[in-house]
Amino acid sequence: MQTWGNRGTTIVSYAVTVTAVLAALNMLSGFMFTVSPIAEISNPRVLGWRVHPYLRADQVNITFDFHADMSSLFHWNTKYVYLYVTAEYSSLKWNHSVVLWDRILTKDNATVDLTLSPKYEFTDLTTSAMRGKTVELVPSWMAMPVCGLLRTQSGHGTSFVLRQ
Amino acid sequence: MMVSRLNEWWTGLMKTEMDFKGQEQAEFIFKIILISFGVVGWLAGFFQQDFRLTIFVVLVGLAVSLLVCVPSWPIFRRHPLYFLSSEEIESRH
Repeated sequence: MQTWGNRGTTIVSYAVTVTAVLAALNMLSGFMFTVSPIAEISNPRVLGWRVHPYLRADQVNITFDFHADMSSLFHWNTKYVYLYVTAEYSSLKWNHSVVLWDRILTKDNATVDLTLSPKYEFTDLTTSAMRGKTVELVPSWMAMPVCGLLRTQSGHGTSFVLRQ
Repeated sequence: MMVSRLNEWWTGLMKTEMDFKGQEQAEFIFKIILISFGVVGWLAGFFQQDFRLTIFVVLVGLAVSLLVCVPSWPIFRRHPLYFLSSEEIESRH
């Protein structure tokens, strides 16, 4: 603590330590809030499908209604909520999970109420894995904290059958 | 003349060191400032549900404690060390 540079360094590092302790207390206080997020998919409709000529795989064009209300997730230990809809089905070898739509929600923009068509193309791996199977559309979200573990949860979805 | 007074003021603050009692006091003061701004900032952020407010209050506390404790203000130089003058050294031989 002899020189001014020494004092300046010590003070700044003490302030960083104080901030770390406050962030840890923030995480601990986050557990006392109850969250009740809502995410529902309804009314899935297949608009059409084709076989991609180059990839030799099925591509499906679908639409569904999506209603989500994530505003109860936004206590002070939440930075963003990453909300996404996946289509899940299983074939002989794998369990497929295709992300169809996603969005990053902030505190002011915490609800979604739309009729959606996918942001990303719903392409299968081959031409055989999806036909005749039940495809389930599942909404999931990841709550990104200020301090703590990333938490992923899923909501209720609906399913549709891709007919041959 | 104004410049030389500023120069001597600057030299006093940044080039002169605090004495040991003053260093001890400065260390105590910055810890108190940072901890109290930390507590107040956490409570403010909790009631506003916004952690950016907490960070902002801690940064203000950091600025205040840098201002109070980094330059060697005259308050921290009240117990100067006593060095032997050259006559006293000579007379001891």
